[in-house]
Amino acid sequence: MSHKRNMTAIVLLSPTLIVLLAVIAVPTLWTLYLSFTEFSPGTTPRFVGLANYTKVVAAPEFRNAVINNVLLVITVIFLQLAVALLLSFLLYQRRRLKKLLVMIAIAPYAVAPVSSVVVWKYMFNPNYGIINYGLTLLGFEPIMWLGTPATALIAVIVALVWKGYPFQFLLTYSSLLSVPTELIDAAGVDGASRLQVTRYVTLPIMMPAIRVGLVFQTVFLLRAFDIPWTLTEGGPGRATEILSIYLYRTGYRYYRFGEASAIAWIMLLVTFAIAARMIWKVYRSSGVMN
Amino acid sequence: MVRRRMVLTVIVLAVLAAGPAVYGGGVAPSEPQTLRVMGGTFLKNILTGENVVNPGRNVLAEFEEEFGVTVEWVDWAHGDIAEAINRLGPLPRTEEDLIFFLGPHPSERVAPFFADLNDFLGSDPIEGFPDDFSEGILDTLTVDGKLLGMPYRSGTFALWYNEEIFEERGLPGPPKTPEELYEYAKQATFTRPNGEKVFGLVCRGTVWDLQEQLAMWARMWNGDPLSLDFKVGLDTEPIANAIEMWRNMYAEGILPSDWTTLSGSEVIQLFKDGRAAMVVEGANYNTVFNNSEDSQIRGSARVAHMPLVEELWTADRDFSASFAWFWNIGILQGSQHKDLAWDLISFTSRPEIMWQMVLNGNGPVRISLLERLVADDPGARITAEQMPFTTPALPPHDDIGEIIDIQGLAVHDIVVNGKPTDETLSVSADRIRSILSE
Repeated sequence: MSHKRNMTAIVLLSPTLIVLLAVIAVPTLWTLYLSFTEFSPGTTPRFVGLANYTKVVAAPEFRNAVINNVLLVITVIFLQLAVALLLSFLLYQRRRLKKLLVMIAIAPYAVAPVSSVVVWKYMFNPNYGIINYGLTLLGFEPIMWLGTPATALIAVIVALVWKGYPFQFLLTYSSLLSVPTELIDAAGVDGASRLQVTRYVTLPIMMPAIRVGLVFQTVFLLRAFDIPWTLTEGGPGRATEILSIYLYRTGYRYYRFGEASAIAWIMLLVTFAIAARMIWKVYRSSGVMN
Repeated sequence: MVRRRMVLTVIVLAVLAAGPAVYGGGVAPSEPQTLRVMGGTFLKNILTGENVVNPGRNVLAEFEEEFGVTVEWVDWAHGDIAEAINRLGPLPRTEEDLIFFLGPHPSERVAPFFADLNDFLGSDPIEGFPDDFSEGILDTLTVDGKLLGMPYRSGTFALWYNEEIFEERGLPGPPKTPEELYEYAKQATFTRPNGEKVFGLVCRGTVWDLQEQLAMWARMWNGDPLSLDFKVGLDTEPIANAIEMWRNMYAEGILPSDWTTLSGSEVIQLFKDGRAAMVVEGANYNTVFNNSEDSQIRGSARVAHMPLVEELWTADRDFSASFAWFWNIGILQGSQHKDLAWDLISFTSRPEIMWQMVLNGNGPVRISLLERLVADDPGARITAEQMPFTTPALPPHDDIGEIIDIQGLAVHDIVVNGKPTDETLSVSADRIRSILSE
């Protein structure tokens, strides 16, 4: 009976599995094959072994992109989490207009990334942008947001935090709502301060949701492309170039599909390794692996 | 029995899932009388007369009526067109029929992506072809005897200045040497009483745009970052002079602080708004600057040649060579309507249609039309004077995309990121040499 049920499940799932295989596995393996070849559109792939991998890893642009990527992922994840937690606790305590404020808080998630960048570009404009306008009203000098390496990176980070924090917020806020009020009341009766309740009761219960959010955000940010590309195209110079932009340049500006495929596979393996370790930690902390 | 039935179900479902991909061949059948053209909207406006300063005839509608065709225009940005050529070019069958591409970029690798226009010219010649077209442009479009595209729009860049600002700042006229260019730009940089800053000089600064800007500025000292015969000059004095002038202008606020993100439309807007005393832009923008209703400097825009160092002045010439740009239209080899596509090329290449396109703001590709335009358009006069001396900014090459990036990123690194000029240019030049030798 159980065997028959398994077979039925397989049969029912097979169309989806076949489609998934066609759109994920085949291109992934094709990219793996291309990564061992020299190939541009209109030419025949020529096997070159590991040459693409050694060339890519040795390139200073690759190292620059890795450093930028690490900096970006760590900073953005930290800031997104900070904003999400702050908003969650603030909204949790509110009694009036709570639903409206939650909707406003998650609004950035509903905006198309490229559309949001167009608006950010206007806001960051040094001559007529609202950010510099505000700064000058406060007596500060205008900042060349997208014109210098440090400020361009800050601009990319701000746009990514703004676009991505709602996802983290949805997880943290929903996990905060699921904390049993009896536990908080009991801790209060035992004499715990609000800070202690948060530190020793609320946050530990929220941790699994926070960790899941961190896993997803790490994966999203490692392959982030739309916002950084449309905002700065990796510039000025290569100051904001991250791995996905480096991949795009190599593939679609230089048409070196072999090298671009090697970069893609390095990104895939690194993302997989980081995500696997984080997921393993999530499972371990939630006791699933015991 | 049950297992066999299940296996059969799997096979049937698999065939159903794969069916559309197999039978559709990835390309949906298209209407026989619809032509799909890929190119920027500004290239379409030249035909329709829409969104231009002095709208003329809609020659695209005339083509559709004469040939009973519907033309579908797919709007693509400059940089994305190269991507589209490489994506669509190798396909044996495409829904797209015609594609625009920028002049000096077709290389041997992409030549097979296009139909040979000579095949059509034999049976359906174009009036005045090739004598009325630039030989240099046609040479660049011909790879191993195959004509990849037909010139559609061309021109040169020039120095535009706001006469009102020049008079206000006590400047005598357009600068004639690079030293004067810098000095005038410095003097023309100021802040108006209402707090609005006027930049002394504005030019395009994105990595993509710098391929042309760098060549044009270096030519003030008779240099070239990469000559048409592939001599790398990126680490030579003229290039360093050009980039150091930008660096000084950037540091002193003569160039806008967001220079590295400025493309053509933003430069034009700054000039039209009276926010730039000088801009380096297409010589064909007289109507845009002087007649356009949204231009706040109507009647004050004057055009001049790009300066040249005095040591290089001759009896024939006291201006630098600028650079020539040209847009071309080609037929994708995967097009299913090649004859119809040729009809559009042939139609838009007729002398009277091309003149209508000029009236709609196009830079003429026919020599006779440029000569006709000179009397009424000061920008056309500048282009006509530059034509005997000028060349494209870069030669055609398979790796031109990487070379453009190396040049542009080196400029950004020196001007904005403060990297040393000689060392940065030397490293970048060596990288270009290494690419060319591969």
